[in-house]
Amino acid sequence: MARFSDDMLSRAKELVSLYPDPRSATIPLCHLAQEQDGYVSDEAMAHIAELVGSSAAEVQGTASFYDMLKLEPVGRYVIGVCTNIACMLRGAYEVLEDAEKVLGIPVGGTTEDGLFTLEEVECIAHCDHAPAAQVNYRYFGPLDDESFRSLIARLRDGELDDEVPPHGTLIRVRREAPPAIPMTEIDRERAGDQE
Amino acid sequence: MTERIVGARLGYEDSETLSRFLATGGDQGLRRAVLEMRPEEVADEVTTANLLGRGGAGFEAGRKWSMLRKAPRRYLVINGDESEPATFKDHLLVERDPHQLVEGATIAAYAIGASLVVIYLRGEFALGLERVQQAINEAYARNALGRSIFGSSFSVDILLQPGAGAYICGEETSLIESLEGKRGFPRIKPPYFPAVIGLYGEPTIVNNVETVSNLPWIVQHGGAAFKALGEGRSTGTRLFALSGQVQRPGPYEVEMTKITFRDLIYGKEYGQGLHPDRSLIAFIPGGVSAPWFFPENLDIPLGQDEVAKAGSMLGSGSVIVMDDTSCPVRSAWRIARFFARESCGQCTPCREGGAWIDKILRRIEEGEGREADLDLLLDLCDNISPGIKWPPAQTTICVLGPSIPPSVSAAVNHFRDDFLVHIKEGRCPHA
Amino acid sequence: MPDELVSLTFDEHPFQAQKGTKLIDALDAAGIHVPRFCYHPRMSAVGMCRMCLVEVKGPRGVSLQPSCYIDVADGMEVFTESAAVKKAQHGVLEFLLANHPLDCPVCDKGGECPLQDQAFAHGSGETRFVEEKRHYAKPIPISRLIKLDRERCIQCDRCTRFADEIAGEPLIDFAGRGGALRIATFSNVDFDSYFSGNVAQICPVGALTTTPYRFKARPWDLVQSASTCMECDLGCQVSLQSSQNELTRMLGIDSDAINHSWLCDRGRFTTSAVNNLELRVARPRLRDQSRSAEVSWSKALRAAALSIKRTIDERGASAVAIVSGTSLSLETTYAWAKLASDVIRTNAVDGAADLRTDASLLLENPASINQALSASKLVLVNVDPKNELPVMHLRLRAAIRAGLSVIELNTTPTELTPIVDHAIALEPSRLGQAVDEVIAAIGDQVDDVVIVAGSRDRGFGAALNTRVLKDLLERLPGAKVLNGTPHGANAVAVGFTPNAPQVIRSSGGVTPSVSADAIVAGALRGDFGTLIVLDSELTRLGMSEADLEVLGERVTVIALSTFESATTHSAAIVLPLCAFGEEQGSTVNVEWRHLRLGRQVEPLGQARSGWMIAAELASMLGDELGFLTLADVMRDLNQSGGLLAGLGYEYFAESLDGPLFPLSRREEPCAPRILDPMATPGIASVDRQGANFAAGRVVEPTVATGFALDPGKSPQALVSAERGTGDVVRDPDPLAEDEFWLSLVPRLYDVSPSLSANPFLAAWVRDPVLKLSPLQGEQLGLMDGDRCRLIGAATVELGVELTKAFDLSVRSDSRVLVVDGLTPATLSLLENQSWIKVRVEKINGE
Ligand SMILES: Cc1cc2nc3c(=O)[nH]c(=O)nc-3n(C[C@H](O)[C@H](O)[C@H](O)COP(=O)(O)O)c2cc1C
Ligand code: SF4
Ligand code: FES
Repeated sequence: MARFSDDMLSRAKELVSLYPDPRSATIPLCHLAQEQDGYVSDEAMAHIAELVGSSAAEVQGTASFYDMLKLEPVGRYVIGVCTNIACMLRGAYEVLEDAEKVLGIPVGGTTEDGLFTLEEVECIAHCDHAPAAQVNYRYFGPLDDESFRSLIARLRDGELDDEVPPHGTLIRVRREAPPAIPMTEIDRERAGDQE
Repeated sequence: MTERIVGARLGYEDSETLSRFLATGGDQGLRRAVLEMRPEEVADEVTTANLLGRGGAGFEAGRKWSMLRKAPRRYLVINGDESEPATFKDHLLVERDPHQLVEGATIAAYAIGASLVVIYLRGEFALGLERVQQAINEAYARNALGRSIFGSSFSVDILLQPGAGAYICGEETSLIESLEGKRGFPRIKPPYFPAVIGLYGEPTIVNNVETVSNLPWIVQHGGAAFKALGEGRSTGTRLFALSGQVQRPGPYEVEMTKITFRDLIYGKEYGQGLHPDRSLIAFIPGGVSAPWFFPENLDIPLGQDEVAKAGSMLGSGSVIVMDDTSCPVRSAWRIARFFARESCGQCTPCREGGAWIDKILRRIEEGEGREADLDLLLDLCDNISPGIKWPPAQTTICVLGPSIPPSVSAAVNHFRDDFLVHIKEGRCPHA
Repeated sequence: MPDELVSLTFDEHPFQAQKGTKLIDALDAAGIHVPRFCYHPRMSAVGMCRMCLVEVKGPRGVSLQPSCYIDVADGMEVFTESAAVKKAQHGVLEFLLANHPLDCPVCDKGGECPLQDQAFAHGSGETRFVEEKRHYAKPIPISRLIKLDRERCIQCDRCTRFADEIAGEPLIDFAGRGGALRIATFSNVDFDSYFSGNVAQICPVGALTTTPYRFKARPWDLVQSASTCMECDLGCQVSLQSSQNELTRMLGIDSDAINHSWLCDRGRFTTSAVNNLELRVARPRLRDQSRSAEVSWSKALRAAALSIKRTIDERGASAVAIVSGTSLSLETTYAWAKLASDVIRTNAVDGAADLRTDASLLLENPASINQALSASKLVLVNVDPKNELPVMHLRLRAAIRAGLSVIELNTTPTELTPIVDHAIALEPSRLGQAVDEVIAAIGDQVDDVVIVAGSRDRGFGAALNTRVLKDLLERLPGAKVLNGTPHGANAVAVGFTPNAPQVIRSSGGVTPSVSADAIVAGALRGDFGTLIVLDSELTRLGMSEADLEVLGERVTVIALSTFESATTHSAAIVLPLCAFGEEQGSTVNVEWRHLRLGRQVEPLGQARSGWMIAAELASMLGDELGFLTLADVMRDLNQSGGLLAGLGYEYFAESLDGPLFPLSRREEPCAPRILDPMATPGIASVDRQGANFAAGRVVEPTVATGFALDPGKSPQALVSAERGTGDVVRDPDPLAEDEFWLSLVPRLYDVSPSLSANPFLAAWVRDPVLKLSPLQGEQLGLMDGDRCRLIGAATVELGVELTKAFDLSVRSDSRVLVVDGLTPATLSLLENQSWIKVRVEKINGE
């Protein structure tokens, strides 16, 4: 895929400018790349490296550490079934098995139409709705065979389009604030209260 | 029903909206702090309240603040990476009361004179991220953030940083590394704690979401009022996340020390007990890093020291209930697997030990175990955390490593017979 | 308080250690070896492998602590033998071995592997790990020189730390997490670094291996000796290893004074060139008309002597010229210097062709490398450490990180430019201004200034270099100087170049006074009858291949050479020289430190040492140099009263660096070297890899004088050698609108005979480019990848490379165009002049 488009690039630069150290924008920029392409491509990592002043190997080192950042293309919907303890105790593995059957793919696979990728994930902090699952990090639960099937059907039919954006779009609310207060200004102010 | 502090608004359907926030006392703590109090006075109230950190370690917030190295630059980082299995209180707070979090963070920033605040939220909390960003935007709009907050001389910015899926980034130094754009390798402490050398090498306070969500109330009502709740070192209220095999899993805010685990699990206004016909075999009192409790521990009160005295911890405030239909071998394996997957990988004992234990337990669970595996498991645990005691000793950089043994040793020692059935008969007695 | 001592106990015995010392180093000093893998004394501690845990008693009782990470403290009680320590170490070792493949018998590291040693010493012998091990594709080439076997990796972070922290090129990094944590380059982009070989040297297991060494030898078959890398004059200390009379590899030794155990790839892999028999000169040859034939030594030497004699008889001694631009051994350099001045008696000699500055300025108040790196201010003048003295670049980076303040004065930015305190542009129109800026940048910290003076930019002749250095020294009278030219230190030390002060060698013979540039130009005009080229390539000294043909018609060229080259192909007489590793001897480095050269293998074919050839030629010319053995050469130098008075081999203790010259003025504390190229990760490996030099052939001490000079022999005041610097400095005419000054700078991998002969490095040689900042590109209408024509003394076609880093460091009004890379073609742009004006034209597609 690609480097940042013009629009994305201006968002990227805005993000970089927020931090006292540009490297801090690495993860937000990876999310941004993922919003653009659905995953973090090599070109995007090289572009991010330029923007934050790291080497591409370092950006790759960071990106590959985190589960949410996909370095290979994934489906439009990444479904993560939680099987951690609280969900497991309430039947998560049965849900996962169902999911494999319903989608016709093993854990880690992507459906041929490129719509779904199935993952087994660690606790997503939705344990009061166990067994729970996330679709592009939007949460659902408690699930059973039937509700899982209906979830897939609704995703297919586009009924959940408002709730579940395509993979990669994380925060749909943009920052609206005056430009960040320059650190030098803050430094001057704080120096005063250090007696 | 006990006093409600952080969860006070959760009863409202629209608890996340600004209008509900303002209609229910929102902003009052912050106004009072920045307009009527000096920063030290705010910190003093927090010290008086004896507010214990809600992130897991239970360290006094006021004392932590007082350890901040004197330097012109200091940072405040709010830890909302909540990924400890079965813990979902911060998830609730960021989604359902984001304004309270922003207000609390701003109060903390004022108290410690932070140059910049970063709220680091778990990346998977997409809705929470949107709501907190919305709350931040609205705070700027009404001058509850930014330059000269509410006309005072205090100015500060808040940035929202999404995580990207790594449990270890909840550990404060790993979180700082992540925030610096790196992989989340925890830093070695001692010698340097974040309060001395933190974000970008500057002194930094890391506080949990729930911890700072208490601040608006404390400033408004005074530290003494907070301290009046609970007992001993455990003051105020806490949000407990109850999960597993209970009738009514959920978040429950309770006054510290005033109820017991039995109350929480069986009480009418809480978990309402187990499924009929089933019995409790074990519960974990404070997240999967904590040593397990058993039916004989049910009458311990929900207090930090009380639980510590019994050899475990309140930790992240999650209580996981296992009944007799669940297999302790499987539970121990699933927890071990979690740590194996989430180890950052830098320390040999955690990286290799965790993965090894995961493989052995899985083999036993699948009926391929050997009797020698049980001693081996305990010895490997001992090599990760010498003595397998509580609080744990460690051969690793952070305490993720030493979090592996408690579940393994609890299961092996307490449910040895179940293990032996798996090993000798190749089946699960609970199936 | 650097010298403050703390008292502590190790296993209940009291010890003292310097405050700020790492516990592990203090334990080492006390003779207590704690096993370790990730710790490396030249890199920051990360405490990752957890192998070095010891028990430390603190306020909250005894706890296990990584001894590599914590500092000693007063009253500390440390236990290294307790049951808890042994259990923890045993546990960590078992964890490390759990997923480690059992392929020691086929692993290059087998036999010198700290992990293997540890396993033998402490492992239980049987594995409790019955699960399936991790699997990765293997081995993965991460560059042409390095292969990665991920299954063997123990995630110690040494290679990645080296790349990031030492080399400043984070091209290799961890990827993944937890059990999947692995080493990776970026989506298979090469680990393209001048320093890549170091990662294989410091890898404590066989995960990173060098392609040239893979499967070449088993460690127990290797013999080794201490030596000095000769690829540049920094003088990196090495362990030179061979097996069955073939050089197998070179490893860096941790010399505190010089290389801190690092080597550059060009140095490390020279052994591959030495072993490339096809491109070695093995036998003497004579050319008759157009045919060249191998002949006996005596015939070749007779022919050489005859040519010299005939030239002397017919045209006078000054019609015999001798040039060299590489680093010959000290003994060879001296023998040729003596031959030239006392026997042939010619003044047309220059053994330091690349040195374009008045060397007396380098010798008046010389600085050591360590003094330079701990100066209050360090001034770099016309030097690019990374491309000229590569390991100096690493040392400088480390020093800058530790707080060294550097002022850089260069025509063209270097890779240090972004991290120095002040980068000042050197341009012809503003020489005086540039010097003023340096002085202003130094401010009042004038006490302890060191200048590193080089001859990097070829567009900058000797007169200019000398003038700048002189101006600086006049304004900074106390400043010390470190030589920054990569070749020629030996020639300067013995006065074998017109740029050197004449009294260094007190033989009373003829003093050199014609520079290499003048010799090359004169030879083309036919001014000389015989031209002797010492292990050099004339095309590197400014001749084109066409020139070489013409040259042959006018001048008898005698080439002494290790490798075949355009010069050996056209020379009338070719004499085979020993390669690196084939002869004993010594050398001096940029700081005038005397260092040994070890002999590990027999010379190829009939190759001989250069000093022997000089001695034989002398006798054929009816004279004697008096040199039958190396020791004879030494004795001469020892008694010379020059810079090297007091010289001798006896200083070469195994664990110490050689002394600095002049002896009487250069005192320094002796810092022992760490002889273990692995930097001590194992126990048995310390012995095995710790360069047991007795196994190699060591130069025997033959001259027995003491360290101190006797007062009668103290060096005389050095006289300046103005006459060597040929051209005079004029204020340049202003540039026309479309003209620029040419800056021509070398790269580490510029074409040379030894590189062409190196199968592993030859591919690194790239075409020269016109390097522009994006801004300059815009102004000239040139884009990355364009081709252009550069018109100077000659016209040359070049590719264009836009370099972002230049935008930050090149002045926006800069009138300098940078050509990166020395080739015969780019050198022809200059024609031995300073400050050539050039014009540039874009070449339109096809
Ligand atoms: C492995 C590990 C994971 C952690 N995860 C979290 C977390 O998700 N959220 C959190 O607030 N603290 C977490 N902590 C605790 C933090 O390191 C830190 O103590 C806490 O954020 C401090 O805030 P507090 O003082 O307000 O509790 C974790 C610690 C460890 C060792
Ligand atoms: S204990 Fe585990 S998670 Fe913690 S730093 Fe070490 S390897 Fe990483
Ligand atoms: S942890 Fe100390 S040497 Fe690796």
